Amino acid sequence: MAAVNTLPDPVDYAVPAFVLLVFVEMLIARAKDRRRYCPKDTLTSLLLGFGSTIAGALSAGLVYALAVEVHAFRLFEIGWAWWAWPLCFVLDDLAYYAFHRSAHRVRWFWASHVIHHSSQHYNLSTALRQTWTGFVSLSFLFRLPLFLIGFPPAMVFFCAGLNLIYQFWIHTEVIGRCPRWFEAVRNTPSHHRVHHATNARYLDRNYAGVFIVWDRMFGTFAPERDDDRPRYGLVKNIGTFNLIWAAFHEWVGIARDVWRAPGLAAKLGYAFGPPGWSHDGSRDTSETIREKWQRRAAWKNMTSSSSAAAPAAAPSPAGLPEPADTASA
Amino acid sequence: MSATLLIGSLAGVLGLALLARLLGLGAAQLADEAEAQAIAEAELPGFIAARAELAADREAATVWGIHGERVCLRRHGAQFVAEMLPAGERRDWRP
Repeated sequence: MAAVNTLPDPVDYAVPAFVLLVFVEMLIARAKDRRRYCPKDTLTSLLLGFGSTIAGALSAGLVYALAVEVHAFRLFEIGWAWWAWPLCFVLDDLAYYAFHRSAHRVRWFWASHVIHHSSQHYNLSTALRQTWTGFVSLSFLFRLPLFLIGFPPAMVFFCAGLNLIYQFWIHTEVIGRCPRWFEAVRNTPSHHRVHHATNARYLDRNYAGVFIVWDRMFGTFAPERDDDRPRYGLVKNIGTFNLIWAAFHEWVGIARDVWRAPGLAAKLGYAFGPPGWSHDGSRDTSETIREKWQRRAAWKNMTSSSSAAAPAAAPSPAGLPEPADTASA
Repeated sequence: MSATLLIGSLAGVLGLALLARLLGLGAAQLADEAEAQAIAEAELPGFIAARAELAADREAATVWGIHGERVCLRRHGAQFVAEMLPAGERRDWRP
């Protein structure tokens, strides 16, 4: 157990590199495309990241105590064997995939994760735009199986830190595509641009942290296409740089919807259904957005090949979105 | 978490935001009506744009759909946000 208390948080050591790389990317943006960065958006992202660090530190003791508690019931004596490290890293990444997929498919988890997607920019500062409410949403539950298997809590949290550091560099448009073998196995800027995109074809894809193989295995992979450049943000963007609103808007949406919902089933649906779910089907989920996109594409194809198509035959308009009408992006 | 790390991080945050401003990053203008229509269609599922009208500074636009619905487009940082307007509502380009 001696090593348990001696492992540092690798993220602490990475912070200077984060700052330096964001600056380098800004210089590239100045030379190539100044729209890649916006000072207000950058400040919002970085302050949300700063707040997330504080929120994480406040709950770290409780999460660690829970991890130790669960570890006491471990199924195997894994200890600090050398082979446990890579195994722990890979399984932690699988746990991350499960968490991340849930974070996009269950509104309760999405309410916490939405912060990370709320920027319409995609740059290295976006990587640091992290949640303030991860503890409230109980996202730490996804790592509990690792402790139950027998991985020491400090090892798991160290691997989780490495995972987080890895995910920093993939939040960029500066890097196009990596070598094919690397794109096949690892999460890359190209794969993660798809994940952050609101384009209908890209919604709810590429949940991976480090290894894209999870998405390939579980059917959630989509490649980036040159003919469909990713657009970033939310399917209904919040349109503000207000930190508090960015951090809590989906929680407010859940509270409002649960309050107004008719009956217990609807209340549960608004809290734990997919983002955009509504009891009367009046809002858009990722699935309905994809359907509308396909219908629109079909209609446009029809009109481009025939002059007979009338607006009346076109798909109906999107309707008026509610404030909380936010399918995951 | 140490106080040094906390203060250092905050200094890094404010420093980078200042650098972004000093480097002249951000700002955006709509190139033309076609771009406004494309953004509105990309932002709103199912919306099919018919025509658009740009604000004088090209930082906002109104886009009409083929069913007569209207979308307000406004600059948000270096990007644009779109909002479907309720029927009959007038919206200033620069709220």
